[in-house]
Amino acid sequence: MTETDVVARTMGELLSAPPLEPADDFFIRGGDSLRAVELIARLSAAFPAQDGTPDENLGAALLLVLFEDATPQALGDAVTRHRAALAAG
Amino acid sequence: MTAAHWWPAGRVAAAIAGGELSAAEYLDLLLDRVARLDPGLELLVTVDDTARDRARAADRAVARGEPLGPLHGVALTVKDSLATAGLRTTAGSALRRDHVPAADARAVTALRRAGAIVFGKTNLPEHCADIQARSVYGVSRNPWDPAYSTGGSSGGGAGAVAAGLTPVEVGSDVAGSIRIPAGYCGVAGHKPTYGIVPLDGHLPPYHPTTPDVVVVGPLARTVDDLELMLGVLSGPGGRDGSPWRLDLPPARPVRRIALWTGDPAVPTDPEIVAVLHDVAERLGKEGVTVEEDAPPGVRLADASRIADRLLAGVGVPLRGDHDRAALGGAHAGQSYADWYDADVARWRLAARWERFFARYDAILTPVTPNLAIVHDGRPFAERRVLVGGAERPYWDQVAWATLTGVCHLPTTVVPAALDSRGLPIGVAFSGPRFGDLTTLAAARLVPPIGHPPC
Repeated sequence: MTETDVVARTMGELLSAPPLEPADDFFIRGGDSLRAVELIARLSAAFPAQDGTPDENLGAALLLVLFEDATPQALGDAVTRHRAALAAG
Repeated sequence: MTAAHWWPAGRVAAAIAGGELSAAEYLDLLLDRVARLDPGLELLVTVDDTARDRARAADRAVARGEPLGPLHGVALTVKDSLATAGLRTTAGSALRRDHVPAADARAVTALRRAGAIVFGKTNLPEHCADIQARSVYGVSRNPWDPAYSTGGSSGGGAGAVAAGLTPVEVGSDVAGSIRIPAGYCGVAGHKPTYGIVPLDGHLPPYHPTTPDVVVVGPLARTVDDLELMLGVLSGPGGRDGSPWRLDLPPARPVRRIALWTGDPAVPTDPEIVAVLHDVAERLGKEGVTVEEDAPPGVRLADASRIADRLLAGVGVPLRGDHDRAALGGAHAGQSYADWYDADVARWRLAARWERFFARYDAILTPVTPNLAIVHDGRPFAERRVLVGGAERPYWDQVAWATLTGVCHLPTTVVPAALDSRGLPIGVAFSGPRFGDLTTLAAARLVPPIGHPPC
């Protein structure tokens, strides 16, 4: 499962819906500010830091992306970039 | 030569200015048709007895060689939600049976400045809050077949244009109130970009506010008349005496049009889908590239949900008298945070439309998912419409209208065909914000369908 798939599925869970399409906008599909906060928390936990705790740096990065482009594709890409940067040290 | 009552307003104005037709003669022609046809159709609420004096004065101005406005001497009607000084304005409500405004709505002022003779007020549902024109003043009937509704809320006006009782009409639209009756009555209608036609003097709201999404705009029998009327009506305005000036961009050359015929959540009647494909083919012959496409991630169900929340406050004049089954009624008690979330979603939707119109000049869609409806006076909760023989929710009728309307986009509706029952099917061209002249240009490519037999 790709990062985008995980985001799409998590968004769907929060909206009591099937996974979103990669280009769907979380807010247009019914996401509100409370669910957005929960989305970031769940994704930070789904892609934890190396010690296994939720990755707060990822959370901060995703929050900025969410305002710009609230799609599974954009958030998934952000997760991929963040993890690649971590792996590269 | 066709009878003058079928002429477009532009032709009537030219004939009056050229001395070939007198304004008084033209008004009498329309009044005669109103007297003969309106008792069976119930399209007008009020006829102004002073109009004859103003028509004669218009003729004297022509004789004196005075400079003439673009609608000089042209008798026409306006929806009874627009205030007319000295002439009763009911907003479809029994409460306002004797309400005579002291001042004109800004749109009416604009008409008078252009030389028009406002001679009648057209029927609408109480507070414009339905998509039929049923009020204590009458149940407006479709001139193509009185067993069917005109649609609404600008239904009396759409019917009056279709029946040749007026050349043009000024209506208003928040969830399809110009577009839907234009479609059902087989006339052209333009829902302007939000904000380019002043709303002052429109009822509702009954407060000194400028409501979201609501627009005032024209209905006519030709696209040229829509454009003439938009020119007269649009401009800066508002009770604040705005210093802004309006300079609409010219029409884009119509080269590329998207076609969106339906959405799984709101199925479209097969007869309408077929007509949309016929129109697309016709556009292709005019050299337009038509592609089946829709903005990515934009769905009717999402847009309807957002619109319901945004329109909840707009549609409810008083909290206590709302019906949960009315449009937006379920959200009349929503919190500001709920409204704000819907507003955020609306502008995200608008951003997707904006990107889409970088690729396409306009999008061709259904006006409604269903064919013109029969009269339905049941409570909202019990009303249904038929789509391809299957029952669908009554408010499915506004799904296409709100999809673009809440994003403040312009839409031009034109008749394209008659359905299997002999009632008109309209199609809608929507475009980018302020792209009004482009949606009009696209609509002009659809050939006319003619008049009802009356």
